[in-house]
Amino acid sequence: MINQKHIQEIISGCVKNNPASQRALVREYSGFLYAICRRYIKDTESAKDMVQESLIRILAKIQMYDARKGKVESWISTIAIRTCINALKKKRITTVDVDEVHSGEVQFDAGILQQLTMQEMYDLIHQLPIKYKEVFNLHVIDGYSHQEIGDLLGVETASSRTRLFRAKAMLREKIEIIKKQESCVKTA
Amino acid sequence: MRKNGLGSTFKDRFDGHVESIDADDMIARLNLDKEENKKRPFVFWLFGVVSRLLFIAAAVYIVSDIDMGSKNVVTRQQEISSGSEYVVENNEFENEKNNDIVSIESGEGQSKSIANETIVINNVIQNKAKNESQFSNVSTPIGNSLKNGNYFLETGGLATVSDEKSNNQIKEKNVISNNTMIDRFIFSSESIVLEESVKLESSINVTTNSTIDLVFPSINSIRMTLYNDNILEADFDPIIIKSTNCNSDEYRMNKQPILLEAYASVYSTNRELVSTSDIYNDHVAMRNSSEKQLESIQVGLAVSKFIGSRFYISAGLEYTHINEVATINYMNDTILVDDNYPVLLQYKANGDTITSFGSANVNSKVKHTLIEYNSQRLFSIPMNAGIQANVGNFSLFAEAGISLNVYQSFYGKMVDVDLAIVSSPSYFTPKLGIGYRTKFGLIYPLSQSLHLSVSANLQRTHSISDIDFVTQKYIMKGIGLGLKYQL
Repeated sequence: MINQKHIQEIISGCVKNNPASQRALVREYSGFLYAICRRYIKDTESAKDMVQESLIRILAKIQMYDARKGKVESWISTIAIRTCINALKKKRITTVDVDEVHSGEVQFDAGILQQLTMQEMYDLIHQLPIKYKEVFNLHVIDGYSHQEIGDLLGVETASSRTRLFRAKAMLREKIEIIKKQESCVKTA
Repeated sequence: MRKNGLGSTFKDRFDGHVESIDADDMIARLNLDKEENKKRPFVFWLFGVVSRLLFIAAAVYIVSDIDMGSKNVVTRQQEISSGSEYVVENNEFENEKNNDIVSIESGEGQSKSIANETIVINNVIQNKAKNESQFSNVSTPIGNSLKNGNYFLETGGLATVSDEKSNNQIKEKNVISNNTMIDRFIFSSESIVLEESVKLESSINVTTNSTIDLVFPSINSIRMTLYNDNILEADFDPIIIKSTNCNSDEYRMNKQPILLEAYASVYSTNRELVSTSDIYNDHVAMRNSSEKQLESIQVGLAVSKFIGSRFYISAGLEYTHINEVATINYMNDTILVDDNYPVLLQYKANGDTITSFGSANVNSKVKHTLIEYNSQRLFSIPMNAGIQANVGNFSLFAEAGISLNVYQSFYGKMVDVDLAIVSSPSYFTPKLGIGYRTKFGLIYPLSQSLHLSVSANLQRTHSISDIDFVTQKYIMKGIGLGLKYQL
């Protein structure tokens, strides 16, 4: 874990526009941000662009970071997520939302997911339509509430729930296909 | 087989996950080592230092020149005391009233032999309140004689000119004045009569003449007559008229006056919002499309100091209020059909098109519009240099300079870099800037010490924001009114 005192020194330096501190911040958090951006942006180069853009915003607004309100990781992840969401907005195609009657977490065989590499995990997420992928990432991994997602994406809370349900359903279907392929390979 | 929630499994896998990325490449992308970024603060620092030095130098110059002004009076007195070829005694005019004319005849004026002499009329008003006037030290520097050309009154200037032409030709007649009218100047020949209202520091254009009359009706009157019947082709040195101890007329004597100006201007304003990084082009484009500049108001105080008779420099403090309106459109999802209505569902999954009936919310994006009146407020220090010339009762002036915006703030709502609507974001508030400006116009004297100015103004403000990827510049075109008071 990164030493918090060290981080505070880096942030203080960044507030003073110290290039060394800015470089240190980039070294510390580029990988963290890249992991976030890769979940939202399928293309790795585009994801790096998002990291770059996020870092520009982070460095530009670093004086606004208040350590009393939370860890710096939370703050910069919020900026990265918003950066990615804005990028995805440009690609989004207007569609009619489908409201599912179903809701709630369905028990799921997690074994297959544990066996997947991180790249395969990314690939799974990116097989989702953008609007589902956004909500899935935001709610499931980044911990946003449906209300927060609604505010961020400009959609109704109900739409966020619907999209999450659809995302999960589609992922289950994808995982089932993977499972079948795995069993076929083992049988063969 | 381990059973778990899909979501929690994904979260477990991704939580705290860090991807490998070339940080050096990212640093290079961000240009953190870019030389320009290092230079920029130095440029700003250098600009700040130079601006302060200029401002201090101007202030020191103004203060020191006030002392120099008083020394000039002494010098004039010394000059006057030295010139005494033709002396007009004070008592000759003691009881004369306005418009009375006293002739001083050189005697030699009728011949060409008058050479290398200087006319000096020393007009001393000891105590105007007691109606005591004194004239002394009147001398004439006459080269050969009069000739067409401009002749300067060191203490005079030009105001109005009227002439009556007769048989003689007057090819040119330009009398350029600067400040205050003191008396009438009558310039006549046998067939030419020019009656001119003369100001201090004037020049007169003599055409043809055989007689020059100097008339000062308001101060017991004096007339100087030169007889040059046959010397139209001859040279004539400048007439020099000097006055001293004019306590009540100190304004006239001050060759380099200091003026305090209060002014107000109204502008039509346009803005140039520029993104220095491509990734903020969307933000800039949205702000440009959503924000419109309205009229701007500017008020200020300035002190100006003349350098010589026509050039001046000025510095002051100025407040500018730029009004803007932001019309921001944003989309919100609105449910058009709720799930009580059955609808045909059709979606694609794994390449297959699945069709079924069900209930659904049908959403539509609805456009909302936010209208917000914003304002940019600037405090700045303008520093100008200008030139002023008199034309009749008016003066024309033109000036140009820079202004240092010492504080700038934004009030209202705008679109953030995230394209979200934010209120008065401090990080979008430019803190420092430089502007370029020019204006030209007319000055009309309401009294000897109070002048009214009307001007056409053009300003360009370069703002430097504390975020380094957006700069905003304002181009302001407007008209201004000002009152200049002679200190």
